[in-house]
Amino acid sequence: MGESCLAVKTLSKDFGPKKALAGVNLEVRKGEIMGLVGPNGAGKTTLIKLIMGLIKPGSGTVSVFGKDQRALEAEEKRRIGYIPDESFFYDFMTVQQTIEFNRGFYPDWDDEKCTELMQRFHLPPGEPVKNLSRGMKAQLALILILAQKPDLLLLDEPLEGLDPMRRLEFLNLVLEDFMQWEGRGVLFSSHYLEELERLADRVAFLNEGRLLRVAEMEQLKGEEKTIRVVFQKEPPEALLKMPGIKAVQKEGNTGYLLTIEDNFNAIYEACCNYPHFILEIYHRSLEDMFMDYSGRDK
Amino acid sequence: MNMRNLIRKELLQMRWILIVGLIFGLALAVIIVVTFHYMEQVVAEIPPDLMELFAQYEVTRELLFIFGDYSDYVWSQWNAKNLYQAGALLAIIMAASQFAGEVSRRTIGFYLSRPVTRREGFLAKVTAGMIMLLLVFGGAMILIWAASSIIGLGAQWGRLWGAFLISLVWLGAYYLVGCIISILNREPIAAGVMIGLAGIVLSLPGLSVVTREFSLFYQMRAVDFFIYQQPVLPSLIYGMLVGGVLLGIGMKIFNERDF
Repeated sequence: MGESCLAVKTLSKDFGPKKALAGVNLEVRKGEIMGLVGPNGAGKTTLIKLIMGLIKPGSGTVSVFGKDQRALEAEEKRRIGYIPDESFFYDFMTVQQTIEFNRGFYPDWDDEKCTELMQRFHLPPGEPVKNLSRGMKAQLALILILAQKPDLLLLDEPLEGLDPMRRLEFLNLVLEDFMQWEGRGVLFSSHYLEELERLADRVAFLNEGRLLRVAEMEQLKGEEKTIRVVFQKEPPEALLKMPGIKAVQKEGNTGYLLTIEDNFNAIYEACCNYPHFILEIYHRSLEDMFMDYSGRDK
Repeated sequence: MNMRNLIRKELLQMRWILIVGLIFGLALAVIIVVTFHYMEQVVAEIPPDLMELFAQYEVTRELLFIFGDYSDYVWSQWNAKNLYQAGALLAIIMAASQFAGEVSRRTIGFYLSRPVTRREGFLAKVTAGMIMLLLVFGGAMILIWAASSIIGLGAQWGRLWGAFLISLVWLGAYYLVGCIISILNREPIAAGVMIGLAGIVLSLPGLSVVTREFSLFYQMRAVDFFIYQQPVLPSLIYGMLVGGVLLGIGMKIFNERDF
């Protein structure tokens, strides 16, 4: 880890009066899976499209493997794999024609892997792509990516509309097959937060075009907790305003839900030292954090 | 390698246009040859006094002119009529489908996320479009020539091929106008309508003798070369220059556009 596959610096993009991205800084290091989390319209797809060069930035830069995205040659572009949030295949092509079309762009195309996965997924080569189900299209996208052997993988909601079995299969292949090679990086945008929690090394929270936080998954699991405490009498204001408390929610007369993002031990100790009836700790899931950052209640 | 792959995909996608175009070319070739064959006999049987009467009116005078020489007849039915009408229609359909169609079908992301530059992506589409125009109309021209030879009708084929080249170059220029409009649109039907309207505007200078040299469609008929006996090169070079400028504009817009 350490060296970066992807570096986004002060990236901004406006669509007319709407600010789609505002000064986003993000890095995907070699060997890591970066989860991208945010509500619909947060700017996730815009960010990935900007990285792919499908749309042009208003300001800021995107560097892929240390080189400006706009200056990438075919050789460097071959190292980027992309699965968007919707099926983007040509309906007039069959599965085999789609594979052949892609194969022509990649000299290192892995025929063996392609054949193996075609058999594993039971994809009919002569079937027109338009006749494939959503799940089969996702499998085809995965075959193309794994046979391409990219070093940077950009996944924009690839699990959308897939049943749990197909989601699991997709994630396992990404983990087992793609990440087995050192030096590869993944930027993975998804609404399936449980799966992302299992998969991602770091998570970036995006909302209304702004990057709110980037954190290690382990750190999030360790730091982001909720303390439920019912005090015997009203606690001093200083306790509820201790550094590291992100949100305070009152329950009844002297009950509180404290959302902790930092300084957990000190806050916990302060709560313990103040007379109380109940003191409980909840580990906060990625979904809870997503709700916080997107400003929504469950 | 990348360009070849992209062009192959474009041609595969437009294969029905080629098939329909060649059927159209075959039908046209038969119609041109058969109508001339029989009309020539009809004109030959017109009594001299009636011919004198016909010569007084422009409409009948023109009819007698085109049926008087097979080369003139082929030019009048091909370059001056079917090629530029069917050609304009084909250019509209192809240009609207290749760019706005790709955006509306949401496949542009797939196309541009292959390891190609925007420049290559644009040039592959335009090259495939030009190949289609050449195959459809070159094929039709060969069918006209073959049908004429079978029935024994001789023509100045060198002149007709020269006129065909001029028509093709100017048709290519109109197709490029279509590509530019299509890049700026996200719906192929809206793009097609706008390309058609642009065609009407571009044909307006052709209504006046003073401005007709600036009309794309006047140039497409190769009138100066075929009727006024001008050399072939000026019209060709003029058409290529216009096409080159349009190609540059199209490439720039495609390069800057968000998809």
